Amino acid sequence: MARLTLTGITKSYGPVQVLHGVDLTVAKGEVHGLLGENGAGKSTMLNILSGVIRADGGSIAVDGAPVTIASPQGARAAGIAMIHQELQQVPELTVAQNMYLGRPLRRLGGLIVDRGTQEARARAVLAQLDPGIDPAAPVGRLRVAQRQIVEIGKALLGNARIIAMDEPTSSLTPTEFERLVQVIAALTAQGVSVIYVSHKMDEVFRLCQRATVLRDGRRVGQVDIADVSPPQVIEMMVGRELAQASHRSFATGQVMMRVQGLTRGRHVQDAGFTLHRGEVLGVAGLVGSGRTELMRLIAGVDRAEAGTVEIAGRVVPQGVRARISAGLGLVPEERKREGIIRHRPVAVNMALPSMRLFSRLGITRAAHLNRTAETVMGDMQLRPLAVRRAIGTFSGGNQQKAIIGRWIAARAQILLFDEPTRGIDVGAKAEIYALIERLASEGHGIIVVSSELPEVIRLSDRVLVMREGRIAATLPGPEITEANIARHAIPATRP
Amino acid sequence: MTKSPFRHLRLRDAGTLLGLLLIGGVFAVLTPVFLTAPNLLNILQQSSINACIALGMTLVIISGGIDLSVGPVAALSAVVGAALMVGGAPIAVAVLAALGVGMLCGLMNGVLITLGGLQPFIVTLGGLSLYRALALIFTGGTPIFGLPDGFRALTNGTLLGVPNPVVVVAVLALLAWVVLNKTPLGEYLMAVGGNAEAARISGVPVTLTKLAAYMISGALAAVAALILLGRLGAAEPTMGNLWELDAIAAAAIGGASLMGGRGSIIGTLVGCIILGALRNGLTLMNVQAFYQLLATGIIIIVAMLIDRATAGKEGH
Amino acid sequence: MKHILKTCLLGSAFALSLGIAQAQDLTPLNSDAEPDRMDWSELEARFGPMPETPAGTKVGGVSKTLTNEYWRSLGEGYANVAKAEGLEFVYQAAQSEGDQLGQLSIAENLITQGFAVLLFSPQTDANLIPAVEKAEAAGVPILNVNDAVIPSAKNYVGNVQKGNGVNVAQWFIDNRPDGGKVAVIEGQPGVYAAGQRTAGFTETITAAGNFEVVASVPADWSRELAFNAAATILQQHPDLIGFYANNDGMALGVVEAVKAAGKAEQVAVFGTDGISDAYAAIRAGDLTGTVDSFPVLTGEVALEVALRLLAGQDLPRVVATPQALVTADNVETFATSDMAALRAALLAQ
Repeated sequence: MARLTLTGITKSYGPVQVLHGVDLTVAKGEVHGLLGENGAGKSTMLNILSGVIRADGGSIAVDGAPVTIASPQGARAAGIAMIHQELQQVPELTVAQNMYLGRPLRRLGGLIVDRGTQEARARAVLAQLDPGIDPAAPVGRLRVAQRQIVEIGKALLGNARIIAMDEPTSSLTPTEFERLVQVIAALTAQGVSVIYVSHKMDEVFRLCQRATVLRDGRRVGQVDIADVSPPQVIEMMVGRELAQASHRSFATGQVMMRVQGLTRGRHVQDAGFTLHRGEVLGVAGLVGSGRTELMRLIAGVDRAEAGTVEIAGRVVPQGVRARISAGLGLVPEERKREGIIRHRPVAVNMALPSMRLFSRLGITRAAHLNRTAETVMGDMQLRPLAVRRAIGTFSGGNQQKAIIGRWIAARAQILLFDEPTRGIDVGAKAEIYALIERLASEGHGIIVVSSELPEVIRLSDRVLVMREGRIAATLPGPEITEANIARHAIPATRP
Repeated sequence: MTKSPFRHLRLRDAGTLLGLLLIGGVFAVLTPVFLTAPNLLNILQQSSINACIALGMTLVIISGGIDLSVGPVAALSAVVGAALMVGGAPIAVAVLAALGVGMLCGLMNGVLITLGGLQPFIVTLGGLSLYRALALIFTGGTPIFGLPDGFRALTNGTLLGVPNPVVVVAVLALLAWVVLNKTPLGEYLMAVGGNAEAARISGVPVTLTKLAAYMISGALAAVAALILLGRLGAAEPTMGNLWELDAIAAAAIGGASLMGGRGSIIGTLVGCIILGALRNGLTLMNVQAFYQLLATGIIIIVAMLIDRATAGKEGH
Repeated sequence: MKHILKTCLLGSAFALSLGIAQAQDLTPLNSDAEPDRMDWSELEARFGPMPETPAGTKVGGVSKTLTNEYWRSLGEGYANVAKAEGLEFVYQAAQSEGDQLGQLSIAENLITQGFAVLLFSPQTDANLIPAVEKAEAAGVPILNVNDAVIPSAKNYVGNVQKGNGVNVAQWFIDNRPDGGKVAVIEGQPGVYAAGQRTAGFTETITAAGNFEVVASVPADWSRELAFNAAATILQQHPDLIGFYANNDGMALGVVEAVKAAGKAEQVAVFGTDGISDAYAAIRAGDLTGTVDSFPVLTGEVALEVALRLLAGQDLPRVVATPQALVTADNVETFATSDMAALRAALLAQ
């Protein structure tokens, strides 16, 4: 008997139907992939499962018994738990308090929270997952990977039989991913079923036994992972075959930017390199190795304690605006927090650094701005091409295009991409790659920070490998391999 | 895209306007005096000072801040301006001095918030006491009487039958609308309030933008003070008590989000008129002040509930 | 902006020349010092019995706030007379004591509604000036009633604010012949009534020679601030013999501080206004006394004055309303709610 059966789930928002009778069957102890591009209906399915929204039609059964899930409490009662991409924890509270958040153990007639027992039970559960986590420590002190495990432990405490994980590895290092693989194995050994939502094909193929593929709110099919290849699955997701392009180089010998001795605390120490016209320079390294910090120093977002950034032969002073004037543009890692102004139109988000170009005598030239935005964004295939719509209503990939468009409109010569395809679906990913290559071909200098080695390898002409705040190696084209990058990225002795 | 004259009227503003019409309709039925031209002008005149303050407050709120110090800033501008006038300075000099005092107070708020890195609520709460104290110390606590009639004539006159304060505030509102919707500064205000970090990385001059918001708020407080100064014929150091709350209420009714990034000049103006019409209508019906307070509270909360219910339904 | 300024300049020059031509001959009012004045008790003797007012005449009152018992009582006095004379009567007040613009709006809104006369008790000396001017233009007479004084008011009815302090000082001079240290808890700085009450007390008691005012601090009409201030003063001057507070609320705060310091026997405490809590405290022996200004009776007198003015009587600019020092000795006499009896007792003084 299946652990979880969803049959004919439908859901509409007003006139827009987002789910058209979707079926999903998950066996006991199975890791089941839920795949699809952004907008395919994965989030809606997860929200229905976790009781955040209600389905319009269809039925849900757990272990063969029909259940109604009307609220998050209802989901919990049905044994379904959700590990969100952005963990919903209170950093100041302890691990145990977070695991009992919203339903504390009480004694003395419900007046007193029984912290002792809470901690004891939390410890017992965590012991199976990661004995290194102290239930009395504040959650804020843990690393993201450990916080995720705390969240899984919380699900187990609530006697969850089905755990849905939404992009669980988006901020994990390779080592941490291995730990998660072990945790998932421990879960399935107990008969817990896992619904695994991810864009990363290698993870899906490593972890899942079966997968359900969604496209445009419909189930395209269910596959046994053993029987298919990643390109086949991707084709099911996007409905077309993606051209599996190989790396093309447009690098020249002309130096555009010279970075020397850049230092900020322990995050970035004495970083120096050059960037050439038309070159794509990859930056690899573990999470915490200082890659993002280096980008922020170059872009002038943080102040360097020492070192210089030289563009076109001239040292550019510190500060974002000075660096922008010199032709730099940063496409930041956390799009929501550092990239977009959610309520404002795409056109305005695009024009922010270059309002001077779009105004005359202190008045914004709205028509000129919108026309330019339509040209730039049309060229970048913004979908839908509605530049006056609030950027928050677009998918992640389209938001990313708007932020790249921001620097094209500002005529930036050097673009810094920090995790350019994080949280972006497969189809849009290919578009971003094509865009980066085109920018290089047009003579821009480009730096790409990425945690995904295939991405770094696919895009880069050269790769800087960072380790503990320093540039550990510079790999020229022929030496760019996963093995080489990993060798330089991992510290000699682990703490 | 249709070229209707209301194409700039956003959904939320239309809602606020509908609320005003609804309230006006009820009063028109209940008290015949309400809908007469003199009474409507009366409402506009009475709303003009709050509107003046609320315009600045809206810009500050959109930038993600708050300005609790507007009342005392007004008082300080008023007593400085009045003292100069009574001392024989030309009216223009006194007016400029009052505006200067307002902008200086705003600059100080802004500097503490941006360069000092302090929270706007706390800084302007401090300003609330500080500027009030300066006004009291400056005057020794007693009002300054004896303003020149020439100055009073400015605020008590009319233009085509419309009281001058209403005209002045209408012009200022138009300017504020242009600034917010038609200039880079307006975009910067919304960007800084919507997401300060993203704005900074995009090269928005965040510090200057915030300074501008607080200085505009200070200057508008001074304008409100000058209008009241003319109407009262006296400058009182206690002027402007609780003005900040009325202004915040008007901005909120008009759709400004205290989280920053969103707000509307039209909405704020209509919000001011709603508050003024409410007070006027209830007084005409001889309803006690306590119930007026009750009505104000209900309107603010209803406006917020409507905000909540319609959040995200707006396309642009 | 530039253009507006230019317009302002031109306009002001023009208006200035007009303004000089119509300068008022009325001197700014000082209700305590105005020479053109009389006491309420002489009204009947000098101007005869109340004139007839046409039934249904509309009269209105605007006062500070109804959260304060004083202003509710004043309205009660207005209502008594309005009812007796068969008038239509409206009484409104602002939302709070500090709401200056709100009160102005209320006053302005009333002016357009056909009132025969309006009685204003402004929040501050200035905040109702536009309404007074508007009423003048509309031909509606305005009577300024207690306690802020509109400088341009043609007629004022109210307390002699200084008298409050003088009464209390006199009690100390009569009952504490040895003199000693006394202290004043003041109301809001800058408020006329507070300043005059304090001045009346301080001037009178200092003139007696053997008293010393060791502290005079504002507590902004707040009971809590008064408590704190009194506690501090008592610590500094353990031999203090008396407090004068500018109102009863503050006096009751002082009483608590005196009791807490265990000095109820030694320290006499006086308030001003005669609110019901003060009467209760006098009966209980906690509060030594208060200067009652009889708000209900004041309201009655004020509306009577307004009606006399309407009837064309040429009253002096200021009519002083009753006040009396209430102590344990006479508390029952003044505690009556029978206004006729109260009038008789006061007239007998």
